[in-house]
Formats: sequence, C-alpha cells, structure tokens
Amino acid sequence: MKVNIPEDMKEILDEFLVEADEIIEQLDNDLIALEENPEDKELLNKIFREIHTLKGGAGFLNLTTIVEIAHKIEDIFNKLRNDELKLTSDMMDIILEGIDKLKEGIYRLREDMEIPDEDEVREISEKLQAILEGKEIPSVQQSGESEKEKTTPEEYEFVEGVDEDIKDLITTFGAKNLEELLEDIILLPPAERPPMSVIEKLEKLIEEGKDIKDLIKPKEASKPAGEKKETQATPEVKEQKAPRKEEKAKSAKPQQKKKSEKKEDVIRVDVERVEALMNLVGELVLDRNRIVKLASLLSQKEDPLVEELIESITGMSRTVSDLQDAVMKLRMQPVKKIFSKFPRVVRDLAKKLNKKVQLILEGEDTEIDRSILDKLEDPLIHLVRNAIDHGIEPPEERIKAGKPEVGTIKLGAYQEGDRIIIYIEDDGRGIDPEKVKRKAIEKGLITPEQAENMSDKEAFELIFMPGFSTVEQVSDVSGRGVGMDVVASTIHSLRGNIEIESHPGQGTKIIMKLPLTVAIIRTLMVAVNDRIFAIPLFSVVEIVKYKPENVKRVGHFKSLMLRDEVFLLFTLNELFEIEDEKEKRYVVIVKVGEKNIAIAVEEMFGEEEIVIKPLGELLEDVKGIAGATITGDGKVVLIVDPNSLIQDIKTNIVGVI
Amino acid sequence: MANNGEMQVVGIKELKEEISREERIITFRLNDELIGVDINDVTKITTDVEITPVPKTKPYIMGVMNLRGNIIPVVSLKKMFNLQGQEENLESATVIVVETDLGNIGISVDKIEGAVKIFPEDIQPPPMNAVGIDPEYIKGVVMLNNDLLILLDIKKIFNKRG
Repeated sequence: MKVNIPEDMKEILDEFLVEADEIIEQLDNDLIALEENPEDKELLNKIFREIHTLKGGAGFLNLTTIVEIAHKIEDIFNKLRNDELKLTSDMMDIILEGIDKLKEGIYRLREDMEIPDEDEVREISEKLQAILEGKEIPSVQQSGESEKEKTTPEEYEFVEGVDEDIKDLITTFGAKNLEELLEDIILLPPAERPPMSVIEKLEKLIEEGKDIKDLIKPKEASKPAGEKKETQATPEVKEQKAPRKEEKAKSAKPQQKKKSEKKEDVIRVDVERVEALMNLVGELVLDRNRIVKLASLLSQKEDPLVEELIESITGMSRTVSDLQDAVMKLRMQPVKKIFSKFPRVVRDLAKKLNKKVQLILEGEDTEIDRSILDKLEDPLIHLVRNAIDHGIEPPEERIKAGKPEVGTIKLGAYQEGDRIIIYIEDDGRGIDPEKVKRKAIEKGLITPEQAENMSDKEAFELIFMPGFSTVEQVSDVSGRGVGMDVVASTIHSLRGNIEIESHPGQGTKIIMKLPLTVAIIRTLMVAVNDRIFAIPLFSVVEIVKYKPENVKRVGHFKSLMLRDEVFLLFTLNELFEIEDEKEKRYVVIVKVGEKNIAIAVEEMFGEEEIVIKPLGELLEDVKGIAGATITGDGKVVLIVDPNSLIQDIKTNIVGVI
Repeated sequence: MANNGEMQVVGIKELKEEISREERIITFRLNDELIGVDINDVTKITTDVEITPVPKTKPYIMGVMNLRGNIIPVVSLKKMFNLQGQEENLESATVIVVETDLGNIGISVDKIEGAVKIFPEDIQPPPMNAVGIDPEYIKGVVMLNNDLLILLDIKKIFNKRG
C-alpha cells in the first residue's frame, strides 16, 4: 500500500530510512551471532533494543505493516531475554524471514513510497505469533481471542486526576510510553479498538507532553533522573502479550544509553557533496601539477623572487597533497560495511545446501573507496556462494576425506601499498585444472593443443572467460545470471585484478587486488597516429625502446624478445583499430591478468597524475577504454583499460599468451 | 577547452506574453536540410569544438568532448540517419549539446541558424521519407519562410534502449 508522508515529515522519513538500513544490517549479524550463543543476554538485549528502535521510527511514520512485524519480533525477543522462550534454529529461520520482510518493506518504502499490504505480511505475522505463543510449528490462523485471554492485567497505582478511560487503557495494555500505547491501539482491529473518544483523550495527553510516568506511581526503585528520553525509546513494560517479568526489561536499559551517546560525533554527509569536493580537489591537484611543472622551468633563473615563488609553491603543493589525502579519507569506508552481510549469507546458504560452514572475517577495518566498495558486494556474494556451493563438500564427504566436518570460509581484506587485497578462501575440494581445461575445450573456448601447454594458473583463468560458466552448472544457489566472467569484468572495471589459487582437495583462494581509490590515478601518456592515450601506471611493468630486430612474427602474432623472455606484441593501433603506418618507437609492457603483454606505441610523453572521468552512458561499454581525463589545455585524453582491451581479443590469443 | 567560439543560448528575445503557447526551437543545417530541436532539450550550443575520437565504437559516434570539465559523447546525426554529405571536422566542430535520458550528448551539425518561435498548431505530420530521416525520430515539420523545418524528437533518438 502507498504511504503518504507529509512534506514536513520527509526529513524524518529520510533519517528513518538510513537508520533502518543500519539497524537491519546490524540485526542480521547479531542474529547470526545469537544463533551461536543463544543464551547471550547482552546480545538478546541489544537485538531487542534495535528492533524496538526500528519499530518506534516506523510507528512515528505510521508504517503499519512494518510496525506489526517489528512489534512481533520485539515481543519474541522480550520473551527470549526474559527466559520465557528458548531459541531454536527453526525459530531463527522465521525471525530472519521476518527481518527480510522488514528489509523488503524498507526497500519498497525508499523506492516506491509504499509498504507491504496487510495480506503480504499476514503469513509471516502469523508465524511470528505462533512463536510468541510457544507453538513449535508455525500454524495458520491465529485468533485474536486466545491471545487476549492470556493477558493478565497488571495492577497499577495511578496518580490523582487520571481519566478513568485512560486508566483502563493502561491496565489493559500495560504501562508503556503513551505514544506507543496509542500506536498499539490504532493497530488493533476496529472491533477491539477502544472508542474514538478514548483515543482523543490519549492524544491530548501526548500533546501535553505527558508521559506514563506522570500518570502512574513508580512501583519499584525509580529510574535515575535524566533517563526520560531513553524511556521513550524503550517500552519498559511489555505489551499485552507478555506483561510479566518487567523487572528484567528494566535492567537492560542503561547500556542503551551508552550506545546512543557514542553515536553523536558522527555526521551524515550526502555522498554527492563528497563527490563534488573530490572533483574539486581533483582539479586542484591537476593545477598543482601544472604549476609545479612551470616552476621547475623557472627554477633555472637565479632571481630571489623566483626562489620565493618556488618556496611558496612547494608549500602549497604539500597542502594540496594533504588535502587530497584528507578528502580521499572521507570517501573511505571499512570493508566491514559489506563483509557484515556475509554471516547471514553463509548461514542461509549452508543450511539450504545441508553443509556445515563457518565463516571467518579478517581485516574488517580495512578501508577502501566507497564507490569501489559498493560495486564489490555482488561479486563477493557470488564468490562466497560459489565457495559454499562448489567448494565446501557435504559433511560426510569431508569426514571421509579426513577433514573437519565443518568447512571454513575466510573472507578478508588488507592493504598492500596503494592496493587493497580482498580474498575469499575455502578449505573445500578445490578446482581441478584438468577438468577446467576439458570444459573449456568442450565449450570451444580453447583447442586441445592450447590446453596442452597451459599452466594450472592459466587454466584457472579460463574460468573468468565469458561463456565458461553456463546453465548446466548453475544451481539455485550460485546461479543468479552472474557468471565468473561478470565478477572478473566488474573487478577489472574497478581497475583491479582477480586471480585464483587452488589445490585439489585442499581448497581454493580467490584474490582480488583493487586500487585504494578510483578518482585519481597515475598514468603514462603515449600516442599513436597523433592521438594521445593514458595508460594506468599500475598495469605498466616496463618501458623499453622498440627495436625491430627483437620482433619476430610467430604465426598470426608478433612477439618481442626481451632479455630471455618472449612477450606477445601488439601495436596500440591494431588493438584500437587505428591507422597503423608510423614507425613505432617505444614498447610498453603491461600486466594483464597473469600475463605480461607488449604494446608498441609511437610517442611517449611521460608520467602524469590524472582525474578519471566517465565517458557518459552512451559509451559506457566501450572496450579497452576505462574513461577519460581533461588535460591542462582542455583536451580530452582517453584512458586505456589494458584488461578489457586484451580481453576483447582474448578468445583469439588464448593459449598463445 | 574551446571557450572562444562558444555561443550561449541566451539573447533570444523573451516575449512578455507568457500565455502564448508558442514553442522555441533551435534550428540548424544538416547538409541543406533545416532541422530544429526544442530549446528545452538544449544544454548548450558550441562552435569550434575539438572532438577526441573514441576507438571501437559505432560509426555514428564521433568521439567525446569537454563540456565544462565533464566528458560527453558527440554523435554525427548524418551518420546516424545515413545521410550523405560532407564529413564532420573533428578539430573544429559545431555541436549542440542536448539533454537526454542518457545524459548530455553532443550532436554535430553543419551550421547553426538560430532560434525561431513556432506555434504547435502549425506543426504538420512528417512527410513519408521526404528527407531520409526515419519518421519515428521526427515530431513533425513546419513551413518557415518557404523552408521546411524538421523538428527532431531528441528524447526518442537517445533513449535507454540505445
């Protein structure tokens, strides 16, 4: 159903959406952690508070169905932390299903301004209700009556002057925050809802700023002063379904306060603003580079003024570098942001496939550019799915092979120079290079002769070729239309690379090397046919002079002898289908996947730091071009993407390189 | 960037009578044809633009240009519509930048004619095959001082389907 959020609530809605995302992500993890330690009281309390905060926000915006589910889950956790229920794996499945429903609701709210209809949540709501009522197997249709009967009204001592209707209300529904009380009432079916006049009275009290504390006398040790705000966020007494054991609920509160205090030194900034800042800094860096270049020309002159100028330029240069670093850091986010989704992914998958898997996360605090991080999620999920589906063996098979019954998947990250390494390692059955080769031959990707001369590492690379993973291999789990070739091309589009290490019987490790940041890169400027191209320096291995005597023709291809190595040689012209008449003067050796390839060019202009910009949607899938940059004189220079450039012709040269 | 020859879409006389439903059209020549695009679709008109060719693209893609520090693709309408005529000059092109569902895109033209006002009721359906441009991309035609003005539908030419 559509939701109508008035204009003045939009900001609150935005905040709610951000907060809801954070909470749900956190919940996923906490729930998985809880499954391992079902008795962890602190964790139970934490989950309870999280879901409660979510419910509160949703209630404020009148997102009825979201409130309904959140409410039920909250109740379950209240029972769990009060030892009224015991957590089972089946219960956890239903709770997670509920969380998924919430996720969906939040997603639809953001995208389409709608939330699930009553009908859509009925099933999960009933399942959750069944848990609440202590039924083992979730059953259908729960009548509202039985639930009501269970309610044991609590006796409260009211302060003087409280309206009788309100007293009744509190007695029936429990002494909770008035706003929540109102929300609960409104959510009731019309038949059970108190008359409108009572609701109005309640609303009036809320308007007056009255809280439940103003209406009833505290029963036990009163709460410390200054905690009023916290009280609003946490119902101190459970709703109608679980009115007992309120003492325990209270004892859980102080922790929450600590947490919310800690949050305050963070501000949320619109990503677009950071992007804009980043762009400006990028331009500044380019100007700086130009000025520094000019200054070096001036430095030959012996003039005190020039000296002074150069001194101040040096100072500015340093500041600009620091600024660049600082802004870059703004865009950095810990990989935790996406790693944290994996415990849930692994749990669900392992359960589905009847495998036993433990996930170990390593280096979660490693930071990487946000735009890279966002694009990594799908490839990582795919790889982890693969690891569980194809890598980890079923428990019996593992025991037979003398391995621990529970398989291990490690997902980790660390920084190495200006690269971030992310790896996924499993101790499963590994990949058999011969099998891969056979399959590639079957698919017509390579010839049997090519397969003969292939190293294991090259064989593994075949997995990344388009057309390798196909439907027959796609199971319900791994196959979502994303093949390994898509994973590889995503990594390449981020100017990273990906490789596979695998030992049959011992496991597989997939390693991705990614740049720290995407915006600014160092490049080598070259030209063919008077057209300038920038080659990212990280893929440049070596630059040598072109010597015709070192070039040999081998079949359809040329090769370059350098010292005692042989490289496959192309001219940049032929790779880009540009007229090829001029004499080549230099050879750039670039690293493409596992191989080094020689590319001959006509001119070489040296190294330059550039800001990488996209070519626009119309040209987004041009092969061999990573983007473009604007030089000091306003010209546009294209940036070469060696990986996709070679990939484009790879089918012809596989086995040759 | 070629700042020198830039011509902003301003200086077109603003009429006080806002009630009038007349539409403003930027007109240009493609070979001898007089072609127009709705002024609301136009981001900028520039002359003497340097275009950097992009290898391995469709023939009608001339390359990319620098639009205020951003990079945008430039297409040849002649090639797109399979029209004959002189090849465009990559060193000094006349480009109208239009806003599309695919972002800003430059279209290379032979000559800018200026802005005209037309009334929607004067728009006629496109004649079949009269100009060699697929009628699907034409909003209609208008008679203008003995010249036939062809109104292009920019949003249809550049859409997500490519």
